[in-house]
Amino acid sequence: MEKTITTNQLSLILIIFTVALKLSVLPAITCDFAGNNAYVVSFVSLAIDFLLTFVIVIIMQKIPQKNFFDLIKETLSKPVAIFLYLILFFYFFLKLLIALLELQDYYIVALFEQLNPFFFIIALMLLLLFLFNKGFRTIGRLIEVCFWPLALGILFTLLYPIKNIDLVNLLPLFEDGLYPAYNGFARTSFAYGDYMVLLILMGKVNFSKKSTKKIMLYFASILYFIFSFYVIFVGAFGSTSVNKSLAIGELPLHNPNPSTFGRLEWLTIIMWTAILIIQTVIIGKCCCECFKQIFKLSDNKTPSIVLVVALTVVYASLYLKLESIIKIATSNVFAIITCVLHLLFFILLVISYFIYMSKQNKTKYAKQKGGGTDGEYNKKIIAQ
Amino acid sequence: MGSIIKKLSRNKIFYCMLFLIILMFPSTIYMQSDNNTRLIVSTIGIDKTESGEVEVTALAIIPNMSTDTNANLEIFSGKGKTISDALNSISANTGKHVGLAHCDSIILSLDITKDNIMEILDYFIRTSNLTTNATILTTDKKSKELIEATKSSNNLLDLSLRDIVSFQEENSLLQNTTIENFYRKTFTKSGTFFLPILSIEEASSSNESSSGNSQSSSSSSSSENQSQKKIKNDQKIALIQEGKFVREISEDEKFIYNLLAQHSNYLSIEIENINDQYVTNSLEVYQQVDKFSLPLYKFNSGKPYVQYEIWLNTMVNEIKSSDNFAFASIDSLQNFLSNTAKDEIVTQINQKLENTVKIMQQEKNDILGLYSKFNAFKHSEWQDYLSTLDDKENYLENMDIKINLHINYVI
Repeated sequence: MEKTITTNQLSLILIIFTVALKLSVLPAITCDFAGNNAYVVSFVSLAIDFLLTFVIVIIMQKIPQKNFFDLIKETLSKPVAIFLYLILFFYFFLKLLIALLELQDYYIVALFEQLNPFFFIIALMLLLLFLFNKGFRTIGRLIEVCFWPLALGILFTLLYPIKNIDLVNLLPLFEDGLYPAYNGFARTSFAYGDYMVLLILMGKVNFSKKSTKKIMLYFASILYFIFSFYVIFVGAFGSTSVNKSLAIGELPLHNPNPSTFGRLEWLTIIMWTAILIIQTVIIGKCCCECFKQIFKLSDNKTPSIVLVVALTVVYASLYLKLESIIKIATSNVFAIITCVLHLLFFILLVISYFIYMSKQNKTKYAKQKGGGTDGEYNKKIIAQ
Repeated sequence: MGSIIKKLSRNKIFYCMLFLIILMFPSTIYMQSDNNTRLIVSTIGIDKTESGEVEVTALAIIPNMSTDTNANLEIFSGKGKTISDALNSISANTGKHVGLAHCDSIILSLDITKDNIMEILDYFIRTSNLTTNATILTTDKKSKELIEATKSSNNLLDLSLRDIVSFQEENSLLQNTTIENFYRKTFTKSGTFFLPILSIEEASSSNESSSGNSQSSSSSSSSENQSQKKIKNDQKIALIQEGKFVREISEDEKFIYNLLAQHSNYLSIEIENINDQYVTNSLEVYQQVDKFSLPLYKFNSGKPYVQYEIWLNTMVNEIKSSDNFAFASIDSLQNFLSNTAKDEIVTQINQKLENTVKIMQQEKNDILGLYSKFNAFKHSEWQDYLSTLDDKENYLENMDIKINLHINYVI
């Protein structure tokens, strides 16, 4: 049985997972769809995520011993659970692919002029193979150690261009009506839905009394950071936001100030590189967990190897094709599928929880009434 | 030692690292250092030739074992149909790829700004070669000559050019003249951008002896000609609208722009022929100490106007008069801002404002960015106003600007 993670580790994993996919290509894509209302789109998406995450965390705390698979198996059926995990596997696999392509794009644009794809893929896959083999507790510990230096480095991205925000770039709201904002919200939905990682972490968390408060506080902080990032991004770049395909790299690099005071943005670049790798590992671990549950495996070796092999094949064929994948992920059809999936899993979890709790309550009630064990109670029910 | 080797031989990570090293070693061992393959360019100048080609001049840093700064700088030129062509020509002639990672300044000749600058800057905004947010400036001479003047100056690298541009940015432009900012301003509804215009003057003969270029054996062959040129800043500003040079900004416009901007720190007001209880027939120069500018965007009978509430703290910098040479006139505790002086300041400001509004309306240059501001803060009323116009480009014709100045003296 995998060791449990603490509330602190869960909070930090959630933070890194939330930041994934939101600060690289997404700001420019959101501006492309929603114009200067991009920050409104991010606010609405993040607010919805916050509410749904709150509900899920409460459910997790109520039934800390249950994981999502077992919950669905008990309340609906095993085939349904396997089917849902299959969908989750492909969902996280696609997110993993996008994260890897963003990582590779970032390396090429920000760090290296020439990057040998062969060496890059081999080195990266070996690293991922090693990390996928570890448990969530190890990943959580890694993030606990690295978190504050990483966070401080990323905070610099907000500091550089703050004084160059022009309110004129942020206003007026909904100049072309509500459609651009709605379109942006729908088309970028794949990058949100961060509570999906909690479905994987269900049953693995060691909750305490103040856990919910702590988790939601951390989560609210990162959502506030992301929202501020979008406000500063749109406020600083205005109409040229759509040109900034790697926002986290370009916000400090191409901010309105000339480079006469030195290259401080390297701090952000280095920290973001580390965050990209960690978030790739978290998403990959989610894929491994889905694989384990589908095939009822107990160790991490087999899913890690299978995932890395599949990833190598797919990633190598999609090398430098981030734009194509982004086009698919932001297409109308995919947007509908994503929104439906996000809602579906949430609704299924809530329904399963209530079914499970009602069964538990019936068992307790019967025990209190008739005295006896659960087995005897069940025999009575069958006899009736 | 033996135990360490035994421990390592049981470690899988060690074997992974060894595998990676063996795999990458053959290809990396023969790689050349960037110094041998890259030309480090700090300044780029762009001109147009008579045949319509683009001429790119690059001020490159070639490290030499010399304490003379100029000995480390070389100028290379290349021509081509496009910027890429011209840079390739430089690469071919120098045997090194042009590296723009340290390029901080791009100089455009005024001739080239009369066509669309965006065509010229297109390379720089797209290429991953340029990783800095380079400053753009213009010159009324050839940009090649300005680069030669930059090289021949005694300051470190092109620091003098950057110093001058930074000075302009802080004092009169009040915005960065970087590529990023150029595109940002050009794609706003107002579409105006300012560029500093630098010039060149021939240095006097006494300056020539101060440069040791002619004595240094590693300087370029044209150093004797270059050492005679100096960068000159007349504080002229080019107005760029929709990517093209339109005209130079007048002194009145510069003053009003500075006065109305929130972030200006170096406003100077000069009033003449002041006769009051402190001075007679004097010229007084007041310097801004502190300022707060609050624009209020309003409509009056459907016509837009901006009311600027400006709180200005000043102190007297200089009094020029032959009649007032007395100890009292240099008393630092004396408040020289009499009612007469205040009235004169207000009159002068109103005159300059009137001239500025007139020029803005005649030339249809929205130097204050009023379209964007009205569109952002008074959107529906602004759209209603625009719908009343036959030509929406003429939105300035009914625009009015009022200044309510609250001026105080600081001892």
